[in-house]
Amino acid sequence: MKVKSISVWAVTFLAVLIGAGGVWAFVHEGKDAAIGAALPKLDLAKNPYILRESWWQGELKSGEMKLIKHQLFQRNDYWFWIGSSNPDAEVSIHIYDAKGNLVDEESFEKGPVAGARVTPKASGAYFVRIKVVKGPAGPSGWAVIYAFR
Amino acid sequence: MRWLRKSGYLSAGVFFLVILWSGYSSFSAFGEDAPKKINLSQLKVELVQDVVIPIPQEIFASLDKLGQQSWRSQISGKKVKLDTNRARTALLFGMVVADGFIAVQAEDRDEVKRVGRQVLELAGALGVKSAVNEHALSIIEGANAGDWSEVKHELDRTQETVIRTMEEMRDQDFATLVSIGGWLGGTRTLANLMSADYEEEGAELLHQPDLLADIIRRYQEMSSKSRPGPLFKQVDETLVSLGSLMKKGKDGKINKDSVVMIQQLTVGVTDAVYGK
Repeated sequence: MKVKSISVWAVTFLAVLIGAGGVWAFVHEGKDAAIGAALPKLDLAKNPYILRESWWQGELKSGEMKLIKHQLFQRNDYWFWIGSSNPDAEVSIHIYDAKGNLVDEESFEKGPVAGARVTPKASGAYFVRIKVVKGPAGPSGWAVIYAFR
Repeated sequence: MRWLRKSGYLSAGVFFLVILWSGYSSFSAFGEDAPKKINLSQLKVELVQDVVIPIPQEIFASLDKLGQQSWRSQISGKKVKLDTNRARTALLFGMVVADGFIAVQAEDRDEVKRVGRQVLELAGALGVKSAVNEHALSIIEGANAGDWSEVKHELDRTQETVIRTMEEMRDQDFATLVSIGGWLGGTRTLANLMSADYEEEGAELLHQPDLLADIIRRYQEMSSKSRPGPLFKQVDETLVSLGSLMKKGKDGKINKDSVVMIQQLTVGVTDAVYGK
């Protein structure tokens, strides 16, 4: 009886471990940080932005930047957020049109998270410029998410 | 008493940290001045290669701001006919999800539920049913409750789950086809609406030459085994033909002739994929 009980616990423990492994595969600390920064804009009671499920990710060293090209549509209102997987990093995010003009309506930077809002004046390709302003010497993971309304 | 004093110190400490944090935040908001202009052609910055294709809802949200649209007229009610061609099934999956977004715009419960069932059927054929099951049920439940916001989220989650699951199964090409199917479905709907009732500002949403170039690049990078036969030749030709039509003319507009041609091309390819 005792043996049976132990094996049930062992199987349960293993199942939890395997399950946790599966969940872990989808966890990205940078994305979690970005979602944390986005939450106030996703409040259902306040004409919320619709958060897209698709997102970008990669790695950057301190001082490095990257550009993400993305199609935006006129009359929509967009927020982009970046989150770093390193809590000591300081990141920034800004939006440029196809001619390279800064088009942020507003933006903020709070250490490992930053956000920028844009209401495109024309439909077409825009560039999201992300940068690790300060951070550890090695590369840090980043994730960019966006929402629209 | 000691506890009270301790918690008092604690509160003061937390208060001090909050002040420090907000000061730091405000400071860092001005810490890195973004250049007002960047030279995109000379900038030696790596471009992120991943392309996120907008969902039809992004176009529909913009169209709604122009006024009432006849969404109900865009419900095709097309039935899915499955065959052994998984590449076609992947393309069809994206198109069915796009149909779901249209049904949500029309707030048509029965159509949304029908789409939910079709999503399950197609997911089964793609071998990803277990990953999608929960989302499909949420779509049907959301439609029953008239919770359109939730249904929109679930449609996006459904498509993303299928794409991620197929990528994990090393079916990258089929994941690409799901995205392209969704984009074609949304573009067809926009072109349908604008060719029936042309509005310059609505037609402007078809200005997507860079996105289309990325879509064509991804499509043509796919293995030829993933785009077999005349159906996929038609998809290829349609995408290439759309290239010149989705650019603005000298007057800065997408004119009605271009809209009508986009409509004909996208309806043609949709009918072919569904197996008219």
